[in-house]
Order: sequence, then structure tokens, then C-alpha cells
Amino acid sequence: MTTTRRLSYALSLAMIGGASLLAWLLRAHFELPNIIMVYLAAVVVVAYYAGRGPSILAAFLAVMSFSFFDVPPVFGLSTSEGQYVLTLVIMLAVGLLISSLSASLRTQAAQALGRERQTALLYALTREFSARRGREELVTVLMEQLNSAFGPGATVFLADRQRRLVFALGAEADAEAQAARAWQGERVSGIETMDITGVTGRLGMLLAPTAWFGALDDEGRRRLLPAMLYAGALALERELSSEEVQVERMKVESERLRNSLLSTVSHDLRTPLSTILGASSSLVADEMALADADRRALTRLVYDEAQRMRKMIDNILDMARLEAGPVGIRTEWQPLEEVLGEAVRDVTPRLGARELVLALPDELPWVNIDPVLMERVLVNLLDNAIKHASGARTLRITVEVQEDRLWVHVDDDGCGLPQADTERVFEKFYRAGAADAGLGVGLGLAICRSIVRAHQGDIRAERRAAGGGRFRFWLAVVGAPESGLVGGDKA
Amino acid sequence: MNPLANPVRALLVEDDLSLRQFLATTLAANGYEVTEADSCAALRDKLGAAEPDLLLLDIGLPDGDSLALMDFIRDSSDCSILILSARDQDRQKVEALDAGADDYLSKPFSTDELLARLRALMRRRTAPVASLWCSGELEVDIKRRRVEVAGEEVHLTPIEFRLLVALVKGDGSVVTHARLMEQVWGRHLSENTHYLRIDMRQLRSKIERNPAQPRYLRTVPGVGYALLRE
Repeated sequence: MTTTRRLSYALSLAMIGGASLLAWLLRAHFELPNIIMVYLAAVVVVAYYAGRGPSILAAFLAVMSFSFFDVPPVFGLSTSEGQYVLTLVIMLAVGLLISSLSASLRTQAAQALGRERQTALLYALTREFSARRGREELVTVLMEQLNSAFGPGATVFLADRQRRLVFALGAEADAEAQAARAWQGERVSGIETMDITGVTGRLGMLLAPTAWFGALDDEGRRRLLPAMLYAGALALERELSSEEVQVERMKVESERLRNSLLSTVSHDLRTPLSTILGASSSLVADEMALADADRRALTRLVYDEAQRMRKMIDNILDMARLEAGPVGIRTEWQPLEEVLGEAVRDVTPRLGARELVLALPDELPWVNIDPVLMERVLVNLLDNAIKHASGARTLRITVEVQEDRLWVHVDDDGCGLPQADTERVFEKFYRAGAADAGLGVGLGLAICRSIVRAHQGDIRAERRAAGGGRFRFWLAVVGAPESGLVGGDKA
Repeated sequence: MNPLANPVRALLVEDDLSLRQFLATTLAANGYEVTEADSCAALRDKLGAAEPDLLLLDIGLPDGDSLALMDFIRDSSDCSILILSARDQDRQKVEALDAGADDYLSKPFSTDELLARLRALMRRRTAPVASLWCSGELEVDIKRRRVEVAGEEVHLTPIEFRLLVALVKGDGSVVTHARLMEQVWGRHLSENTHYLRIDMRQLRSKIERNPAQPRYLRTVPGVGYALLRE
């Protein structure tokens, strides 16, 4: 007999002993029917605290004690009074009733506590699930909760796209073969499994040694474990569908871009192409009939339009390459003036009557850039000012360092951008107004932004307070290697 | 071109038919004696017999790696090599230059550019760089180790001088980072061009009136540097 039970019976004896003592003391002042209440009270207490067995014992002891100590003849038993049989029966009944009531109360309380604990567990689980993203994280959370609720030993397998079961997380990484068989419905000895099923169907399987399942209590096996697996399944399904939404969204976006591209290519490249075909067909057909000047003019036209086409194609290809990701970027620390000088040289023939001013600090800092791409950015910004800032007479490039950023401003004193366009101007294929149709495909600034962002910087367009437009971009200059005299090489 | 001199022999290796025809026609019209090849295999066949002075080599040949060809060409001939590269073949272009090509031209190019480059290459072949090199206000006397800009002497460190000489030897064509590092430090300092750039910066500040808009010391982004001839 366990200690608790021993204590319960001991309590029973003690209570009845105490009641008897009390009854004995009260005998002088109260009548017998009232004294029996003391014994009844004792039986009730025993029934409440000690349970059924002890309460039966208490009932018998109470009647015997009452009969022995209190009913005349005192210190003697007499069963002649059959009415005390009634007392005994009533006391037994009361004892049994109270004890079973209290037992059932206790069981219910325990059950409620257990359910509360389960609910708390499930709540924690679903809260974790809603906070985490990614299949790996979700499975990890599920595993942690399973381990803390039921102990370690379980393994989770998930179905991949081909409906094959793949190990996800857990103790038995090599059990894939057994898991696969169980997945098909076979009974495999030594292990037991439980499906992880969500709204859309079977997502995977929980696998554990039979002993593990055996260690679960009834409530755990029936309610908690399936509930946790279901919560896990829902979280995984949500993850899956969000991935699918992403993929769909990307498909839609790339479809939109592709259509944009196709229509651009179709329209914008055909225009110079038709000029080339027209001019060259005249040259081919009528060469003899054309005057010298005309022939030269047509040939010049072919050359110019071909140049235009080349620029457009270059831009489109560059953009496509940049879209594919910053894979091709090769950066190296270098002084900015190297690419700046080259960009200026590239643009100078197109400046015409405009003036280009450089406002640079004495020591240009080193930047970690891909020189070919950064030169493109500078050339595109300058060309953009040349082409679109109508009325601009001066272009100015300013470089300044603020804290850990290097800012490059390309300013013009032309008509400036409309305020509404300062963001949109960087969109692909964006052109400010139909009048621009002949000036390129609309990718120059989009390419600038892609390149600058691939260098972990960013670019903005503004209207200048003094009138005119400004494009400015920044690059980080943290971590530049020492740019002073190195290697003891002194003049 | 001097009509009395022997015509310059050019070997043209380009797989695209139209482009090859255009180049062959243009070169012939300008006095060159042209042999055509359309693949690596054809190049191997014809190099020996053609004995070219100049080789125009397209990088993207379909039947082989132009880089591997460089070794073969250098072993068999001392012709000057002009690489024809496409716009996004930067890395291959630099590798070819490092491996022994003399200059490059990006497609599409104009006839002017092509002929100018070929003339420059021929000039380097027939008249090796004089000990005294001049361009605009810059004067470099290699033998006497003296550099003057606008008549005033400029003091260069030994490293800077070696750097300048390496660029002078390029005579207007680009010299790759790797080639410069080899010539200045005697070895390849892996991929790190850091010290080279520091020294170039020093050189620029000493020679150029406006280092941010250099007149002589040109940067070819992603490839190397060149000394411009005015």
C-alpha cells in the first residue's frame, strides 16, 4: 500500500478517534442524537480528503465508537437498538456519497488542469508558428514542442513535391526507408507512425519507437499529439501557399516586363531600322542617279541610325543582365577619379556648347566598385542631363564625403524634373512625355539604379532649389584599405 | 601606307561570315594582304603558311578557347595580335591581353578605329619604342631616367618610373593590371591591384595638371591603364 493510502487510513482513524473524544466530552451537555452529528462530521471530512475506502472504514468505526462509548451501556456494545443500524447505513451512504463526489471533483479538476496545460502548449505552438517563416524553422519549432511535451525520440518526415517522404528533423535520420514503407500503409515493427495531415491532405509523417508512443498518456495520445501535428500541418500549408503566391507574383511581374520589353523592342528598334532600310535601299537601287551630296547624306543617316540601334540594344541587354542578379559584379577598391575621368572623356564629345564642371575634394576617397559598371552610371547620368535637361548650359559633378557615405551629385541648370516624376524616372522603360520617343529606350536611369543598388547604395532625383535638376547617388566608403604611401616607397 | 613597302600581311580569324567579309574587304581596300580563317582549326592550319604581321582574332570562336590558342600563336609566330571582343566579354578580353595579345577592339567598331589600331600595332613592330618618348607636354627619357612635363622636371620614385616606362612601352595601347604588376614588381601580386592603384594615383598627381581629368594617363576600367599619344 502506498504512503498516500496509508496516510488516508491513518487520517480516518485519527478523525474518528478525535470525534470519539469530542463526543465523550460533550456527552454531559447534549442528547445522543446531537452527538452523532460529531461522528457524521468526521466521516464527511474523511470522505472529502481521504477517499472511498477510508470513508467506509470511518463510517464503521464511527458507528462502533458511538455505540461503544456513548450509547448505554457505555463501554459496551449492544445491538438491540436496531435503529443504530439505520444510523450506520446513513453514515455509510453519506460517507460514500461525499467521497465519490470529492473524488470526481478532484478528477475533473485534474482534467481541467491537464486541458489547460495542453491548451497553453498548443497556444505557444501556434504562436511560434505564426511568428516563424520557412519550412525548416517551422519543423524545428514543432520538434522542440514535441520534445518538451512528450520527450525526445520522434522524427518528422515531410513529403516533397514528388510525394516522396524525406527526412526533415529528428532522432532517426536513417529511418527513411522504414518511413517510406509506413507511408504506403505497411505496418513496420518497432516503430509507430502518425500522419501529419492538414487541410490539403497528408503532408508528412511523425515516426517514433513504439516505446515513445507507449509513454504518452491517454490524453496526450488522443488529443494533444494530433492537435500539435495538425497545427504544424496548417503552418506548413500556409508556408507553402505563401511560397506559391510569391512565385505567381514573380511570374506575373516578369510577364509584364517581358511584354513591355517586346513592345519596346518592336517599336523602338523598328524606327531606326526602317530609316536604315530606306536609306540603304535607295543607295543600292539608285546609286548612279543620286547626287554626291545626297548619297553622302543617306550614308550618314544609315550610320547614325545604326548607332542609335546599337545604344538601345546595349541598354536592353545590360538591363537584362542586371535583372539576373548581381552575379557578374566584380568590385575592387579604387580611387573614384579613375572612372570619373573616363566617364568625362566619354561624354565630352556630346557636350556641345555645354560646360562641364567638376567640384571634387582634394583627396577623393577609395570606393569598392565595379569600374565598368560605375562608369556606365556616370555616363548615363551625364547623357541623361544632356538629352533631357533642355536649356541646360552647365553640368556639374560634385563629390563629397559625409560620415561613411560618398555622395556624387550630377547637377544641371536646365528645366529640371517635374516633382511628380522624381521616383518614376527610375522605372524601366519610363520616358517623360511622348516627345522623348526618339531619345532611347528609357532604360538609362533604371540601369543606373540597378547598378548603384547592387553596390549597396542608392540614387535619387530632385529638383534643385536654384532651378534645374539633380541626380545624386551614394556609396559606402567604410572599410577602405589604407590609401597612403605603402611599402616604404618615397620620392 | 607606303605603297612601295611590302604589303602588311594580316590573318583574320572570325567565324561570322558577314563580318569577316566586311573586314576582309576593308583591309584589302587599305592595302593589307588578307588571309581568312573561320575557326580555331583553320587558324592552326593557316598560321604557319600565312606568316602574318598582324593577327585579328575574334574571342568567341565556336570550336575552341581563344585563350588556349594564345600559347600556340606565341610559340609559332611573332605577329602582333588584335583581339576582337564583344561587349560583355570583359574577363576573356583581359585574360587574352595577359596571355600575350597586344590590343583589343570592342564590337561593334568603326573602320576608323580598326585601321588606327592596326596602324599603331604596325608602328610598334617596325619602330620599337625610342628611348625618348614624347606626347604633348610630356617627355620621358628612358635612358637618362628623366621625366619632364612642360619643360619642368618631375621627380618620380623608382617604382613610379618603372610604371611609367611600362606604359610607354605600350605606346598608346592598354597595358593590363597584371602586365603592369609583372613589369614593375617582377611578379604577379595575385588579383590585388591595390598597390598598383596607389602608385598610379601618385604618378597621376605628379604628371597631370588635373588628375581628375587626365590628359596622358588613361584608365581603361576593368582592364588596365594606357598612356595616350597626342
